[in-house]
Amino acid sequence: MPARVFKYGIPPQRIRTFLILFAIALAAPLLGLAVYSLNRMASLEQAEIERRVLQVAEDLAHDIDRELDRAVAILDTLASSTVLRRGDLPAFHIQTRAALKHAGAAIVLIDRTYQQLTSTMANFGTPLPKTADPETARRVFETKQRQVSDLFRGSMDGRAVFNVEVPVIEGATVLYVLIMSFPASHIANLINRPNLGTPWINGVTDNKGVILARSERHDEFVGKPLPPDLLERSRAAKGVFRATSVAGADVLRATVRSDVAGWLVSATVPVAFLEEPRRRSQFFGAAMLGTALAIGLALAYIFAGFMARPITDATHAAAAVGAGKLVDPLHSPLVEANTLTAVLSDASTELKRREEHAAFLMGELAHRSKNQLAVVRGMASQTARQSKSIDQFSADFNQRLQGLAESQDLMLRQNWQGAWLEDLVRAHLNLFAATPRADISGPPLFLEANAVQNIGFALHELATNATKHGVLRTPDGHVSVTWHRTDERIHLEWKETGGQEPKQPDHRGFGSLVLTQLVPQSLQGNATLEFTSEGCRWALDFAATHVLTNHPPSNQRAL
Amino acid sequence: MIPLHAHPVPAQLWFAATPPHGGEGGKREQADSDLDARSLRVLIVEDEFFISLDMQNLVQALGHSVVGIAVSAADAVRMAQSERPDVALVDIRLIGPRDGIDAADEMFNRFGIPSLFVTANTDPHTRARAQAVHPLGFIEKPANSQRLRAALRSVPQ
Repeated sequence: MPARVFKYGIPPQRIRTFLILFAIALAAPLLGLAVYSLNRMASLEQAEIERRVLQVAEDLAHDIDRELDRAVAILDTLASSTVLRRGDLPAFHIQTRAALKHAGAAIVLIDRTYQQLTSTMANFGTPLPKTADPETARRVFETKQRQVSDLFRGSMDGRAVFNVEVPVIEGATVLYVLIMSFPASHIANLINRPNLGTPWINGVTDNKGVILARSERHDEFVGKPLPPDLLERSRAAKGVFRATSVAGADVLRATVRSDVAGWLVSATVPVAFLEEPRRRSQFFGAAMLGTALAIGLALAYIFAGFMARPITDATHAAAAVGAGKLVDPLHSPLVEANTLTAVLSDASTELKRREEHAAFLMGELAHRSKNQLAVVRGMASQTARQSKSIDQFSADFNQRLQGLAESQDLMLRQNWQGAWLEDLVRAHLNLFAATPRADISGPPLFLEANAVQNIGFALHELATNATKHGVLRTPDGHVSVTWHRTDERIHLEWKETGGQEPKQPDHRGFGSLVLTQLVPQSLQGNATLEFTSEGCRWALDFAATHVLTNHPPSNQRAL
Repeated sequence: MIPLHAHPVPAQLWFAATPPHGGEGGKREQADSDLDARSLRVLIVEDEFFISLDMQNLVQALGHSVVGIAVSAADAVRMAQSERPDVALVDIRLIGPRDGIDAADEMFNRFGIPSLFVTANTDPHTRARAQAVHPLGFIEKPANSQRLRAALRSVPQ
């Protein structure tokens, strides 16, 4: 285990954590974008509303100016009347009455003393008062320009009115001032726009800061001064601002100055009215966003589960393999986890198989070693029965044990299955350094373990005898070991030649017993042992069932 | 096949004609035979001759007689039939197609001859199979005089 557990500066996390982080990484910018868009939309909407309020104010101012211009046009036409220039006031009175189309309005002619000369409100000849608004008339006389008055109370009926006044000029002097007088309600009607909707309130304030007209509750507010701060802000305004209306409402207000009259024309709409839809759209947007987020998170959770659960299961499978258990391959929605667990499953099966095989081998080894101990025990007791002294026992026993070890060694190299006959012959002759004096020939035969051990015993007894009493004692002595196969039998022959009157051994000795009875019996075969002047000859015949056919290739022979 | 009891281990050896001395038998043989008054006729079923000869010595030292040594299941059954031993000492792994459990089963069923299994460390499966044929018992290899004597005492009259 490396000392540094984490390489990337963060502690190790579960896959679920990373998937959640991944989902957040994907969702967060989108979420930010959505919130930004909502805000942007809201501010665009706000700008649009402001533009609209300003537009309405401009439209109103324009309409008022047009209305005033129309009045000016009528007055100018009348002012140029030849009747008036002749001084024929009764005829002019008739003309003015004819020109007056607007009910509620009046046309009045005044002289430099502000004395009314004719008025459409009275028959000609009726005594008339002076004008109630000499100030505007004075400006006309001075400037020789048309003027529009502020609000004032009419001289005849005390109504709230305003005047549009033009000069009647003869040469360089202003002879009269011709006045068209309108009730303030005329402007109120003009600025009343029901199609805008109830919450819209429009108003006109004159140059003195007095309310001249109002689209709603006109009669209540007309003639009242605008609150000073509101007036201040209205005069300074360029575009739209928030304010408290005269009625005390929190409003969005746009004020535009009338070109003709200099009045402040305002359009207002309550903030509450504006913010209601905006709040609703914000709520709707937030709800949509929330829903989308919830759905997204739910889906992300599900998909994360598709990944995280199989990975967790695969981790458990790996731990199980580590604990030596068998694991099944996963059938999850995650291909990688399935592949991984399939490999783990195979590995666990293989591990189990090897474990069982190892256990089997251990058992087999235990069996073999105990059995071999029994063999060694028997070998010791049989050797002891033939020994004259401890030294002789020791030598003979060691020799036999060595022979057994040789046979075992051969089998060990062939995985305990058996050994090649030629290897077996050479091994036992080698033990007595007799290989150079031996002729060994025969087809390759792979003997099973029992045959290896028994033929090994026999070869050992033969080589021992040849060394101690037989041909290998003499320099010309020679041994030939040959074998061949006929049908289902194997014939093995040990034949000594060149012996010089070898000692005739006892036929009833243990070696003889091994060669003539014990070994053949163990192989369920037959053996003959005979002695000639040249040496001994031993022939063994046994069934080919002791030869294995599924043996390793002969080129992998042990020796 | 020649039963080995017809050829008792000779006093004279092939290349060193010396009478036997010492070994497993000798003085112990006398002491043990005193303890086991009843002399049994024993069949040895074992394919390793060094082991079977050793067993033969041990059995004889205990005062019993060996009626024969069989190396395969078939030999064992045949000898059991002809010799009618009191008990068979059976190695489980034998040469040939059948094993010692088979042989013990047949000897008991056909001739009523009980068996004692003489085995090296066997796997549980084989052990269970061996148990199933109702042997008198098991003797662990390598067998020694004490183990053998104790086991042979269980042979019914």
